[in-house]
Amino acid sequence: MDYQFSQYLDGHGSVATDVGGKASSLDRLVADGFPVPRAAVITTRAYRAFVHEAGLEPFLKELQHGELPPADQIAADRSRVEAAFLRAPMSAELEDEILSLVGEFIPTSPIAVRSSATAEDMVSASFAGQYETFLGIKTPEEALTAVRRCWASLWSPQVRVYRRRENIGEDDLAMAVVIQAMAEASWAGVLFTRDPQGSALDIKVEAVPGLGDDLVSGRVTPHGFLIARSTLSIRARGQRAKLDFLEDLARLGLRIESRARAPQDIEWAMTRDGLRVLQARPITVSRPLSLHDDGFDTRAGGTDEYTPRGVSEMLPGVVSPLLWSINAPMLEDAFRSLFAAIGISEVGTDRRIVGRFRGRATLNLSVLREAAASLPGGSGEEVERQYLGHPLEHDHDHHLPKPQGGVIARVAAAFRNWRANRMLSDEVELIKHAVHGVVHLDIDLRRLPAQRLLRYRSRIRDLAWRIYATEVASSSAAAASYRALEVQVGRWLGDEEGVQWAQRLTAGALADTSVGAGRVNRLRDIYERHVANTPALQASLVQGGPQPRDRIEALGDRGISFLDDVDHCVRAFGAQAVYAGRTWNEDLVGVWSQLSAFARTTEPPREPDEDSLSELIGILKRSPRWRFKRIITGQLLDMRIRMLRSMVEEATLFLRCREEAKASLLVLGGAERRVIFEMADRLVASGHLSLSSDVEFFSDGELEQMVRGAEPVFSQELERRRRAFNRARDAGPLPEVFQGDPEAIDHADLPTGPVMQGWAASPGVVRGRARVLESLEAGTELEPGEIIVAHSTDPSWTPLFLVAGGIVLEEGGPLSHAAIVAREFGLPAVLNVADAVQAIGTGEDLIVDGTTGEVRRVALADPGEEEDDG
Amino acid sequence: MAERRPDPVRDDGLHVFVPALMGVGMIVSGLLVIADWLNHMLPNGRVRRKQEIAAGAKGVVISVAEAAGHEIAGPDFRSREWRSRWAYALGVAGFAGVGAAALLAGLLAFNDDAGLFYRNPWMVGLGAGTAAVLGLVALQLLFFAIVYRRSFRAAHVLIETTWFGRLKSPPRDPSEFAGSLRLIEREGK
Repeated sequence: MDYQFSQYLDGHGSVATDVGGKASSLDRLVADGFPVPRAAVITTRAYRAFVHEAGLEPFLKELQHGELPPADQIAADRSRVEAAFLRAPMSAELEDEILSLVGEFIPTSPIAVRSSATAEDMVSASFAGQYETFLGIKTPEEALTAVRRCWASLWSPQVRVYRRRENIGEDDLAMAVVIQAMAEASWAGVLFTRDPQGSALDIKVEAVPGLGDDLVSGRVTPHGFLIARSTLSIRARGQRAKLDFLEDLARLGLRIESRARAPQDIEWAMTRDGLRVLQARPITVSRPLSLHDDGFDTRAGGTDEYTPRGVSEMLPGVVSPLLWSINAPMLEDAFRSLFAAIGISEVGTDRRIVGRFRGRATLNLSVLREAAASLPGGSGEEVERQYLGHPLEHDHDHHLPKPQGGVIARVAAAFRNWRANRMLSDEVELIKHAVHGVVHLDIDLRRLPAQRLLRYRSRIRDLAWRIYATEVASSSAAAASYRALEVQVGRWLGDEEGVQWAQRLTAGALADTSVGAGRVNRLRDIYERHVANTPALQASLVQGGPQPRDRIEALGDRGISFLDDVDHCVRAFGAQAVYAGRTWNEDLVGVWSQLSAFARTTEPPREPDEDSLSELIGILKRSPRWRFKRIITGQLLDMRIRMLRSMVEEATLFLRCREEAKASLLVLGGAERRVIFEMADRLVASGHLSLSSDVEFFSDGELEQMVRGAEPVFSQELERRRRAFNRARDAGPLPEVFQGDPEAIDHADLPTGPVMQGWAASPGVVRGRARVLESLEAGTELEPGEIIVAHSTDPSWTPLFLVAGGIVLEEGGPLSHAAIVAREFGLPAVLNVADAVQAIGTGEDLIVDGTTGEVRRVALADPGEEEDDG
Repeated sequence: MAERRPDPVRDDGLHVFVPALMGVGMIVSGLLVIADWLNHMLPNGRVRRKQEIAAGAKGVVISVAEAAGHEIAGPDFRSREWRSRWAYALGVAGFAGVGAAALLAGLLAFNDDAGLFYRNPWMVGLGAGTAAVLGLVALQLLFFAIVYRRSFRAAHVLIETTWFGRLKSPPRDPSEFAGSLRLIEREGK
C-alpha cells in the first residue's frame, strides 16, 4: 500500500524534518545493517495536516509565546494540552492511513508507539524521556490515541521549559511517530558508549529483566555494569546479574558509535532472536551543575556541611582532575581506615568524607563531627576546634550520636587508640626508608613497556596509599595529644597559658623534621658550602631575580658546581605540595627565592626556644602547692613532671610522624610525577595528546586507559574541563563552612577597625609592611621582614617564611603547616583572620601579635595607641 | 559558725591515710625507676624493631623494582653479627664456672649424709648433665673467641642465625639504607 502520511523504516533514507530525529536514526541503523525491530513512521506531514485541519494553530501559538506555567500548574497545563489534541477532529483520510499502518503490525505482535520530534536527539540536547512512548499497544484504537498523545507531548509544559532553557526555537516544530514491532525481551535496558557520569573510557550498561520501560521510567533499580572500551572487561555496579551477552552488546554499541561518529545512548533488548536495537541517539554532553564544575566536583545536595579547612593544606587551591582522581580516593580511604582502627562505626559509602566543590577539596564536617561524637569522651565541638580553630555557634551536638557505655567503653576506646597509635612511629620509619629506597632506584622509564610502566606506577601508588593512611592517623593522634597537653597545662596554669605553653613545648622538637624545614636545611647546607664565602655567587643570587641561573653559569666552574648540587638536591625534594603534583624541579622559583633569602638575610636564623620544658618545670616546681602535693603523695620521682614529659614527647612524636609522613608522600609524589610525564610523552607521540601539560585535565583512569591504547577523550570535553578549571580558580576560596552548592564569599562587610582578631599560632610581636600574596609565584616580590598576608599556605610556601617577618592567614589551625613552621622559625603568626586578604593592602603597616592573636593596622589606630605600640 | 568540712589528712585518726598514700607513691615511683632502667638496659627489642622496619622497607622496594622488571640486591637486615671477643671470653668463664658449680653441688649433695639427697644418684646425674651442657656451650664460646671473625663457614652460620651472634643494627639513616640496595636488571626482561 502507498502511504501519504507514513513510510517504512527500511534503510532507504529519510529526512529528519519528515520523520523526526529518532526515526531518522533508526532508519540509519537499518541501513547500516544493525538488528532493529521492524518499524514504520507516521511522518511530520501527518502532524502538520492534523494541526491545520483541527484549527490548533492559534492554541499552539499561545503556548509558544505565552508565559510558562508555575510549578503548581504544570499538571493542569499538561492535561489541557493533551485534551486539546485528543478532542481535535482528525480527517478520515489520515485516520484510515494510521489504522491501516498499525494494522500491518498488530496481528503479529504488540507494538510500541514512540514520539520522534524534529527537535530531538540533538548533540546538545537529547530530550531524553521528555516525549511520550507507549509500549504494548494491542489494538488500532489504542494506537490512534497513543499517536495523538505523542503529538501532544511536543507541547507538554516540561518540554516547553526544556526548550526555552536550551534556547531551542519553536517556530517550525513538528512531531513524527514511530510504530515499532515489540519483541518479547528477556532483558532490556540502555547502553552509553561512554559513561556520562564516570570515565569516558568506560561503556555503561543498565539492564532490567523483561521490557525496558520500567528502567526508562525509573520504576526499578537496574543492574549496572561498566565495560572497559579497550578490553571489554566487565565490572559490575550495584545490583548484578550474570549476563552472558554483555560483551556482544558492548561490541554492538561500539559499532553503532563508530558509524554515527559520536558517543551513543542506545536502548536495547535481548530477544529470542538475539540482541535488538530499539533506538540510538547521541549522548548529550553532560552539563556541569555550575560553570565552575569540570565534571569532577561532588554533587551538591543533602544536609551535610563541608569545610575546606584542614584539607586545603593537603590538596591546596583548585585541584586538577588528574590530581583529584589520584589523591581523593587515597585520602577518603585513609579516613575510613582511621575510623575503623579506632572503632568508629562505618560511615556509609553513600556519604563522602572528602568532597570537591568548585574544584577545591573539602572535608565533610558533618561526618567528622558525628564520628568524633560517637567515641566515648569525644565531641563534635573538638572537631570544629581542630579544623576551624573555634567551635561553631549552633547547637550541633544535640542530634549527634551519643557513645554507648560508661567507664568500660572509655577504657576500651582508649585501648583501641593506644593500639592504633603504638605502631605509628615504626610505620613512619618504614615509610621513610621505603620511599628513599624507591626514589634511589632511578629506573629508566623510557625503556619500560606500557604494561610494566603501569605496574610500576601501581606499586608506587600502593606505597602512597599506605603513607596517606599514616599521615591521617598521625594527624589525628597529634591533634588529640596536642589538645591533651593544652588542657593539662591549662589545669595547672590556666587555659590561656595552656594554649601558649603547648605551642612552645612542641615547637623546637620539630626543627629538622617538618616538610618545609627539612628542605630549607638541605638548601642551607649547599648555600654554606658554595655561596657563603663567594661574594660573586651571593651577588648573582641577590640580583639575579627569580631565575638567576644564567648569571651563575657565567661564573664558571664554581657556579656550575653549585648549580649541579642545587639540581641534584631539588630532584630529591619531589612534589611541592600535593602527591604527584608539580615538583620543585619543574619550577625553581621557590628554590631561588629561598637561596636568595639566605644571601639577603644577614642575621642568623632564629632558633626556637628549646628549653621551654625546663622553664615550665621550673615554674611548676616553684609553686608551694605543687611541692606540698608531691610530698603528701610520696612521689620520690615527680610523676606529674614525668607525665608532662611523656605528654610533650607524645605530642611531638605524633607531630613529627605527621610531618615525616607528609614529607615522604611528597618525595614519592615526585616518582609518580615522573611516570605521569612519561605517560604524557607517549600520548603526545601517539597523537592522543597535543600538549603533555594537558595531562592535568584527564582523570587517572582515563590516562591509564589511553596508555593501554584506548581512544582519547574528546577534545571538546577537554576544553570544557579546562574552562571550568580556570573559572574555579578565578572564583577564589570557598566559605569556611557550607551546605549544598557553595556560594561565593561575600566580602560586603569587610572589617574596617584597627584590630583584627585571629588565632594566636606562634608567639612574638613584629611590626612590618604587609605583603598580600595570592599565590606562591607572587612570593618573589616579598622583601625581607615583610608580613605575609594570604588565604592559606602549604608546604611549598616554606621558603617565603625564611624571608618574612610575620604571618597573617585567613585559614589554619593550631596544627596547620603554617603554624608549625612559623613556630619553628620563631615567626609571630596569627591565623584564622577573617577577610584579611580583602581588608589589608600590600604596603600597609601592621603589628602582628602572635601571643594574643591580634593584627593591628597602624594607619587606622589611634595616634596615641600607635606611639605606645611603637 | 559554719561546720568545718572533714579533711582526710588532718582528721585521719588512725594515722593510716597519709602513710598509705606516701607508701603507694613510693612504690609506684620505684616501679617506674626500675621500668626505666630495664628499658635502657635491654636494647635488643629496639634493634629487632629496627630490623623489622628495614626488612619491611626492603620488601616494598623489591616489589616496586620487580614491577619494573628489576631485582634488588642488598643485605639481609634480619641477620646477626659477631659479638666482641671479650663477650665470648666472659661467656666461657661464666658457663664453665656455672657448669663446674653444678657438678660440684651435685657431688656434695650426693655425699652429704645429713642432706635430703644423700646417696641419691639422680643428683650426681643432674649435676653432671648440667655441667656437660654448659661445658659444651663454654667450649663453643671458646672456639668463637679463638677463631674470632675468621672464615669458618660453620661458625658464621651459627653466629648469623643463633644467639651466639648479636642482632645487627640496620642502617638508621634512610639514605644509607637506600644506598645499601643495588638495582639489578632481570635477565630476559
